[in-house]
Amino acid sequence: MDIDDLKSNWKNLGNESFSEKQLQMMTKVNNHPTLKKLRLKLIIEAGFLTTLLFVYYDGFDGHTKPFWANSLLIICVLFYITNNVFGYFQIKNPIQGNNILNSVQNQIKTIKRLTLFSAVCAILYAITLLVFFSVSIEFTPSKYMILVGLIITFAVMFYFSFKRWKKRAGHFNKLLNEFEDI
Amino acid sequence: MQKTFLKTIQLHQNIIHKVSRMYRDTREDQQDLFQEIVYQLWKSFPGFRGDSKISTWIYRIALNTSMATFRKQKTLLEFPENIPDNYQYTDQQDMSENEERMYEALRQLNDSEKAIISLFLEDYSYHEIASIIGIKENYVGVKINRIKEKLKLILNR
Repeated sequence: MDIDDLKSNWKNLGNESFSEKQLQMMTKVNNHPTLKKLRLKLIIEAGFLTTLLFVYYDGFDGHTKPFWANSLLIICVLFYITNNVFGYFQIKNPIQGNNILNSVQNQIKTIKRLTLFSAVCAILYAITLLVFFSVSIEFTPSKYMILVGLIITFAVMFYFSFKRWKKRAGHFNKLLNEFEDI
Repeated sequence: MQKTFLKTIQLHQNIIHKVSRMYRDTREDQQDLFQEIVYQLWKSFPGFRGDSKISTWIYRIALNTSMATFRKQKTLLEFPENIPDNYQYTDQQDMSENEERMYEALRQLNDSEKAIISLFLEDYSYHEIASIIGIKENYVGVKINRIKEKLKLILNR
């Protein structure tokens, strides 16, 4: 097989066919292979964190903490949810330019911003937890356990989120290098 | 609008099938990518003003989506030294030997090379390829020659 054979073969390929009804199903997020799962994950995480905000007030003596400590915790949780929502929209919108190279360049810029935002969220979260739990609290062994558990859980979540963004950035940088390599 | 869109995609779905099979190895991943491309086309359809051919627009979105939505490799894929003479397709589809050999060869190129060569094989001019990809027209020629050489090596192994 040579290049000319490839060319003539290529034009005759792709003869499988989906019906209009099947194609219509594919236009819905609910049938999307990735976005459906991501949206569900986003809703579950947001639900979990919102529940945490409702529970913490009694569970972690929120009413005995200063106003600023409570506010900081709420801001931190909202930042985390916002970070996830931005990430979802980044994945939902891969077309970010009027040609492929332009789109790849814009993806890199977006991912850089999101990686930075992710890191800021992680740092903010760590500071908030430490501050919140060390202000006017009587630590019991069970409260220590809960605190350590929370810190580890969120640290792991942020680590994987950061790693995921780094991997995506690496993928697009590789693409950019391939296109620009003459 | 959706009816016009669906009719258009049904007419040109061969482009999406070809791009999906070139960028993904397994039947499952190819179907997922096909679906992702249709979703992105539907989202972008209101912005299509007819400045280019509809097939050009479909190619641009399809290639862009394929490169932007990469997959984790579930198992380590090792490309064979030789393109298999008789490849059994997982879905028992009746596929010609040449067709599978061709996809096997194309899958050994990197993502940017796949994009450029697919447009070349579809008979787009250097000017059109340059405008879809976003690189200079004279670079297209250089790159196509390089990809042709690479493909020759792959096909003659």
